[in-house]
Amino acid sequence: MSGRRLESGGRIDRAKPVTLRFDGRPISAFRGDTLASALLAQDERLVARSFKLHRPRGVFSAGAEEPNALVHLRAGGRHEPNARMTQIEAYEGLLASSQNAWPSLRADFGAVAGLASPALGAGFYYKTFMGPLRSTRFWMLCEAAIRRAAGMGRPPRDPDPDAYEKVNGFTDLLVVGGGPSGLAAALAAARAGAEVTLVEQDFALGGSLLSEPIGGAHDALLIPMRAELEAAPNVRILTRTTAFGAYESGVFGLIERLSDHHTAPPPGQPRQRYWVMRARQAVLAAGAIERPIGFAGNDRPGVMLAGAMRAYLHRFAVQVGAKIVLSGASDDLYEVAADLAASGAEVTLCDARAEAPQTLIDAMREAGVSHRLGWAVAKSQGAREIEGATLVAVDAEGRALGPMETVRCDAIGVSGGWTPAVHLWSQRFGKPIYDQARDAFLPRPVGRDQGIRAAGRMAGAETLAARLKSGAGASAAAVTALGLQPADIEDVVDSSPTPRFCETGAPGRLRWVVRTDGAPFGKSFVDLQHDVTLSDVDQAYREGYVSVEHLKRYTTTGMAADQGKTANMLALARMAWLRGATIPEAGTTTFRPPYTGVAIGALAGREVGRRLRPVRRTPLHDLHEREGAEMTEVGAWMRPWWYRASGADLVEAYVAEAAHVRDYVGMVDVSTLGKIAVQGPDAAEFLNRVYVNGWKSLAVGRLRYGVMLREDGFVMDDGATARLAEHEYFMSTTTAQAAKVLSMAEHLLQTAWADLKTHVTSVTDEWAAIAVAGPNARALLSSVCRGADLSRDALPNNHWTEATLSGAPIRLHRMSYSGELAYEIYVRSGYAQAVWSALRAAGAPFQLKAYGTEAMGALRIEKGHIAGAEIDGRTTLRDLGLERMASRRKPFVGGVLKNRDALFDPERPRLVGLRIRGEAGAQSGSLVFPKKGALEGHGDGWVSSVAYSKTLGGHIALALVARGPDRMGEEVRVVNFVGEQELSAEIVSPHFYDPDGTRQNG
Amino acid sequence: MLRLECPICGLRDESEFSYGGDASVTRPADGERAMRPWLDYVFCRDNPRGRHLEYWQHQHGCRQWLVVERNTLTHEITSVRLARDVAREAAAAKAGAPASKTTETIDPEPAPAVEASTEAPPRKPRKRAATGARKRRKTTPAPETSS
Repeated sequence: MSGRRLESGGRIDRAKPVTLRFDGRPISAFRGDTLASALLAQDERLVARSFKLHRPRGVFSAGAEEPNALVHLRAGGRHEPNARMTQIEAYEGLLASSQNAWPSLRADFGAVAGLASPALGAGFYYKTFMGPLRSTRFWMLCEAAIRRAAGMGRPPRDPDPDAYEKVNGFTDLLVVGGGPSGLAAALAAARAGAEVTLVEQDFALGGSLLSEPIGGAHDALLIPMRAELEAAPNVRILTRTTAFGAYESGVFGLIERLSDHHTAPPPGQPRQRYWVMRARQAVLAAGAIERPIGFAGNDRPGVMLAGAMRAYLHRFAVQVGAKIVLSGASDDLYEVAADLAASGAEVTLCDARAEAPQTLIDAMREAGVSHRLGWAVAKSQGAREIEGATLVAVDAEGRALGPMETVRCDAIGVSGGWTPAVHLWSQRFGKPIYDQARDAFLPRPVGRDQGIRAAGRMAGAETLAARLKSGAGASAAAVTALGLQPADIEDVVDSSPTPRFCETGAPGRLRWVVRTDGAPFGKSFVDLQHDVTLSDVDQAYREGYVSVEHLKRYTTTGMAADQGKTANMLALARMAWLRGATIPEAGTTTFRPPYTGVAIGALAGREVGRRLRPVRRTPLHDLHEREGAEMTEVGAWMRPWWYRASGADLVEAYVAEAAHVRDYVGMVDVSTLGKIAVQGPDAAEFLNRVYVNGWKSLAVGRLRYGVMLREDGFVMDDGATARLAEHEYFMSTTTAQAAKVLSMAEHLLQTAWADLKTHVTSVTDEWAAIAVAGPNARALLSSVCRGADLSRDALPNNHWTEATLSGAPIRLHRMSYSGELAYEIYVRSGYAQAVWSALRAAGAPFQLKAYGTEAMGALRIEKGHIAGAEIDGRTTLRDLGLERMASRRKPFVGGVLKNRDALFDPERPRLVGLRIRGEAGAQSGSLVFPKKGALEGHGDGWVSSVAYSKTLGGHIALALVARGPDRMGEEVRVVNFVGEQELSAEIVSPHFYDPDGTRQNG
Repeated sequence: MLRLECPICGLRDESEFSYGGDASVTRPADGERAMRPWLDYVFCRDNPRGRHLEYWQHQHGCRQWLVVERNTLTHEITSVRLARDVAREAAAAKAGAPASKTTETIDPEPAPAVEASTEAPPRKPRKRAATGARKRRKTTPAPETSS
């Protein structure tokens, strides 16, 4: 076996071998492996190519921070780019392939980019393509090539066949992180009786404890804790779950990967579940991430975080190299060195510190580790894999002091110190604070308790006992805040093993190994995923991009898919050093969600396809479909657009339907109108205040058209309101503005007008409405309605009456939108279909036809009635020719601000009609220009609504035109720049049809 | 996502509410004919860093308008009251009468012990005197109207 798997040990299930495929090659692994550990066990070092320079890369970490080992996962619709090998659980049939490499990983053509790397430094893009070269042929040429080479991974092209789901979660205490401090926090709260949710991104609980030898003292700590938590009825454990976002009010976004460890989700099981978790309290125990060290070739496959080497050794029983050099400046490294040596590797430990306690020196001698104090790795040697390491004596700042010495090795472990994973905390509270002693950014106090506490390594606790105590302490505070009695977990804390090699307690701090003058020895990567080097940071500094925010954007450090989990500290430390500033002076950037990438599918959940958004259907919807209506969306509503029986296409149908209404009678579903019950002794006063026209004189049994403004004086809505009783009105609004009108009414009645005894209630869904319009309308309705006299004298225009139709109680409003003799039938939604059907059944002798919204629109355009296209939030009463409606005798909403000087500017576009010359109709949105002159600027106004009128024998339009009412009869040009159409038209009154209203009043 | 403690419905998600703007401005009396008070009411807003009084409506709930005190810096919500109660209290205070018994203020946690750095002083009512210094626009003559 050429592999690096040890004969025994590890937390893998050797009884369950699985076979994975990587780039088509079979890879043997066990359950409990990750894709990374499986490849390392096979001694597969080269697993990826870098983003920009296509340099060979290997597995760098053992967790979510992985910058290098990204792969394409699965295939077809299940394809997923940029998946981190270190988090992909091994399962039978797992399919992965390398990305950013063509034709193959070993012979990647893109690697020539590496040769051009001096030209691809910081700001390459800005310098090359902004300024004179932008939009040139040269740019076009380069763009294609750059687009092909750029990008990380390939997005899926096929639809995702799997289901995702969303869950609303609630918990007393959310614990993020299943490492020692998180386990302690969860356990303490569980014992106190709180409802606990414990979230761990890994498939196993334990965190750093999993990197300890199996069956040892650490397992003696972990196993009982885990067992107690698993047995506790008040603890919900979510493994394979990432808390990716922390939001206000204790809300957290979690992604639970339910099926990512199967080839396909088990039947009925979603792939992922998105939890919107509302936590009364939270303990964040996200741990810490080890930092790289900047030295020449620190990206070569075989260079790995020292802690990850230990994780692979103990958790996965993989010895990552036979000859290993370790470089760093902390006590942690001694543990790694001793364990690797015990596993049979030949280990050289370079501790950059000049001195170390004698106990550590002795321990290394005993372990057979070659130990160098005051030394560090300056360069890695090799091509696609590590063949050696060049060591150099360094000072405390990592500057070379003397000659170099090369040793043979096949792996280099690095530890530049630890970065607490403050991401979630920072998402919520902003910038963390720098702790000099720990050389780390840590959560700072946030004033008033917000129910979120950090614990463990994330909060700066270092030894295992300190981390357990920190978790228990944070938990006790949370439990107290929940009003419970904190419980004791001293038994657990006391059982924590003492560290073998933590003597000085001082954190390691070796950032880079450089020449005496501070210049790097070679390509020393800061951000492995985005190929940003120390030299790029130096260049950004020289060019003046010294703030961390500029540094980030100019060099793109920390902007890759890993968001600089390993990179950020190194980059800003370099900038601080260049500026001669301290780390806090240089500053840090703020973290934002998500912590790791989230599939859009998970956020969408089931709200895809036809479930994308809710659809509102009127009570008559089924009938419309049955009767062959083409439906159209109006906001959330579905409305009949035109009927296939009326014509072969939209235009033919609506023209026929509109003409039919003018000649005979038609009916249309207007149930989507907003309907508001206005009730109470002050209802008339309320209406008087919201509408521009007066309401006090409106008698019971009558209705009136009203227009309302916004507070700023622009027209908001129009509609008819009927007085049903002394203290009861029935208001109708346009379909589009219904919600807004109700909300405004409620606002005024609950604030400025709280003294008015009036109540408004939306009754839109309770009532269906059918408009019946046309010369035959009265005859038709008289034949079907019982209990009402519909004669002209008994029910004149703008009056209503009660009646029954097919046994259903209805209210008949006589009012006209079309300009014809017309009625609106209001009926309880449950009776709507019966009423519609009864009209249909009785309609034949009267030539009744149903019409859709398009014909309804054409009819109102002929009549010059305004609708949404004219009430667009920018028009005033005066613009729409409605200023005569406004009362001068009473105040109303918008009544003062409508009189602003600028709104009386004579150049303001005002409503007119247009008769279009020729056979082609205009498009709404076309601009109106004078007959002569250049077509420049925005013209004199625009076309708002268009229709073909069979009745008038031509194309007509409503338009808003500067000085419009003074230009009647003027010839203008109607220009559609998008469709390159130019028409000529005559400005006319908007009231094309029956301006005196004899037909509607007849 | 914010969560708001609706005095009627209890603690609910932000998605049930809609934001309704600055609640520290007072609508001029309906009979006010001068332009300036209306311009101030509709257009002039402070943009405070810290405590902010704002309207929210529990649109997908009890439909009550609420006056919410939110810290614009930290999103901390320190009180949620029915707008109706706030309005009635203000009216009573103006009339010089003691405020009538209204729904209690919802303040789920004790009064804030806030950091000085994150807190702007509580907002003062907009001073009318200050606007007097600005040039007062002439009221436009009302457009011609019919009865």
